[in-house]
Amino acid sequence: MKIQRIIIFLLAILMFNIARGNEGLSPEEILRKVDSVMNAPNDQYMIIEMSLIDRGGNKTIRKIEIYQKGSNKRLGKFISPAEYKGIGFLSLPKGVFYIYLPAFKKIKRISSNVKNSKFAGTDFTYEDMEPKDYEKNWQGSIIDEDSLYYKLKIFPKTGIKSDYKYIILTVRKDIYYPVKSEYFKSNDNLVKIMTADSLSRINGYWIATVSKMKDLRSRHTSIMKLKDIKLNMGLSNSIFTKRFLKQ
Amino acid sequence: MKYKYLMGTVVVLLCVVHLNALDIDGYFKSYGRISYGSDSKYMRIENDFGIKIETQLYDNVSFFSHMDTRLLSIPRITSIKDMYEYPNYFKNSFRLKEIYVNILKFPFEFMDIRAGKQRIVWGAGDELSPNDFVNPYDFQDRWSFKNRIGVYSVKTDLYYNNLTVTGVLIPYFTPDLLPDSSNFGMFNQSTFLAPGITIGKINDTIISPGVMVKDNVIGGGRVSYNIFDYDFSLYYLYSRTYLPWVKEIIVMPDTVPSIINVKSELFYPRIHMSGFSFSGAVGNVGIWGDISLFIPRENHFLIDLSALGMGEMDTTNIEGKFYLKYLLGFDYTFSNEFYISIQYLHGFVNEKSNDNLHDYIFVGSRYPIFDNKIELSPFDCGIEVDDFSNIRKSYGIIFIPSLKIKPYDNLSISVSSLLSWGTDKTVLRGMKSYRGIQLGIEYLF
Repeated sequence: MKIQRIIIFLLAILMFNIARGNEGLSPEEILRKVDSVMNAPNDQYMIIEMSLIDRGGNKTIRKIEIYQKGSNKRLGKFISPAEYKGIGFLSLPKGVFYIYLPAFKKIKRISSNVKNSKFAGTDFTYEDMEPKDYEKNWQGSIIDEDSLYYKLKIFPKTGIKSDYKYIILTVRKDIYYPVKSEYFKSNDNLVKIMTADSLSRINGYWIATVSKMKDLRSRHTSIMKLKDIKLNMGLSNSIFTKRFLKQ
Repeated sequence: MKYKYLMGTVVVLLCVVHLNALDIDGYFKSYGRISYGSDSKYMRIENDFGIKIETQLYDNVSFFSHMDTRLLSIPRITSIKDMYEYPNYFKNSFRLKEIYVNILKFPFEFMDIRAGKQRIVWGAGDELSPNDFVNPYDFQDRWSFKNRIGVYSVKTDLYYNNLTVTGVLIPYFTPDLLPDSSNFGMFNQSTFLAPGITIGKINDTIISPGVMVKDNVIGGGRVSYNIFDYDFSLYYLYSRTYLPWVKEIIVMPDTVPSIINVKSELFYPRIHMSGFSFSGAVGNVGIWGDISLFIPRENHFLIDLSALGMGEMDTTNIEGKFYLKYLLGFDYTFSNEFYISIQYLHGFVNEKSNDNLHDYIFVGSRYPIFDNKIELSPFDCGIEVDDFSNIRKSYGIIFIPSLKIKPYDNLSISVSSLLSWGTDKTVLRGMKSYRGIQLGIEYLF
């Protein structure tokens, strides 16, 4: 009996400490943990299948091949449909962004505000498709919290250009994965909501294999499914170059 | 023509051999144009069916070909007998636009080689870059300045960090392709004459470079570097002009008084072309520019008036006299995704010598609405000015606003207004005052 009481007491202390540890996190620490979870693999390869559903329920599909290294290098190439096939984009540190247009056989440097335009007709912008580095580029505060989630209101840091005035990020406490992002433009208008609908653990890393982006203005929805995910392949830096982009 | 069909067959055979690894894309495009203005009459229906085939031959070796068949519908019926002949209704062209082998990382890790008929894009401009001087122009569609002819060439790219060094060797000379017979006036024979000369009839002869390597070969290179988030490039090409220049004009009196006959001899003189370009962004505005230097190496332009008892003149010889063309462009995308680009160009492709370069402003626009189902291009235009001190008498304008409907992926239906007007002796006015409409349909697969 005495031993049982001791075990219960120790478990209670353990649970208290776990809870206390989470509660004590600052917004910056939460964002750092989010970054470390989302960008945990050294590199990633995947096929993104993007389903676009308009207000009438009509559906079209885009397929994109994605290479990512760390949190600030990403290269993508459209596989389908035919009108987008071959178009590539390269996102590099310091906001450097290139697009390859196969019809013109030309690589074009894109100014930063173009990143806020729609990505191939989807509800994701080029900015949404970029690798995330929340701690470096965003700051904010915890506006709500329960036993399962943190709710953070984050603003772009000074000097960081974003199409959004702020984002309300709902982060799962147990794995520090953002399961819902609500995007607000000026005048506090909620314009888009992204949800991570299916989280899977692949090779020990949490990945949102199905995400949904809903544009509240156009009542248009894009569902992003990740397929053929390969992690820590040792991708060479030579992939994240203009040379590879135009191949 | 037989040669081209043969090449097409070879391409198909090659692809069949590698059938299991083929990547096939294609398109069907159909455009119809018709006048609604009474000042000029013009009708053209063009259908293009194109196939692009790519296949991986080995790990680092790929093969690419792009061929298409164009069917022009230009009925030319003036008598009953014309109605029996297919060519009086339709004109077919098989075009092998590109066919090349791409070898990556050969013979060194930092080197790529591409050999075959290909498009080599230089310069920073959109569609009109003074530095984009490797491929000749294809002006068959006079309303488009973006079409080029692929050149048989070997291109090597060497990469080292942010530095890229490109070498180009073109063994065969190919001149520009002028607007087809369904078009009119953009480049007429007097385009190639010196300013100030007005003639009635011309009997011209073009002297081609010949068949020797030294007469044909074109070579050059590019050095590109990225620094401070800007891309900079230097170019050089030892080439020939792709439009012929006048070598000699012999003026002869006609049997009818007050009429003179002109016999002209034209050629493609050797020329040094070099340039510098940059591209980047200032804030949210994309910015790019080209500056090109042209130094003709031969141009013994002679006007022989001896038949009129006035001797010979060679005052318009510009051999060794350099001239500059340049371009500055900006683009911006508004928060509602309205895109606009503005390019200022000094010196069009056919213009030569510093005294003869006109100024142009080209505007491109794009406004996608209704979930990208509709795309408007309301401001697409080009404005040309020859003499700023007398704009009223030296301007040309083309205005091509368009509406594109995209009901499904890969399918688009478009309607454009084609308008041009201005004064004589301008390139854009050279397309004649025109009021027309274009209907188009495109399907990609």
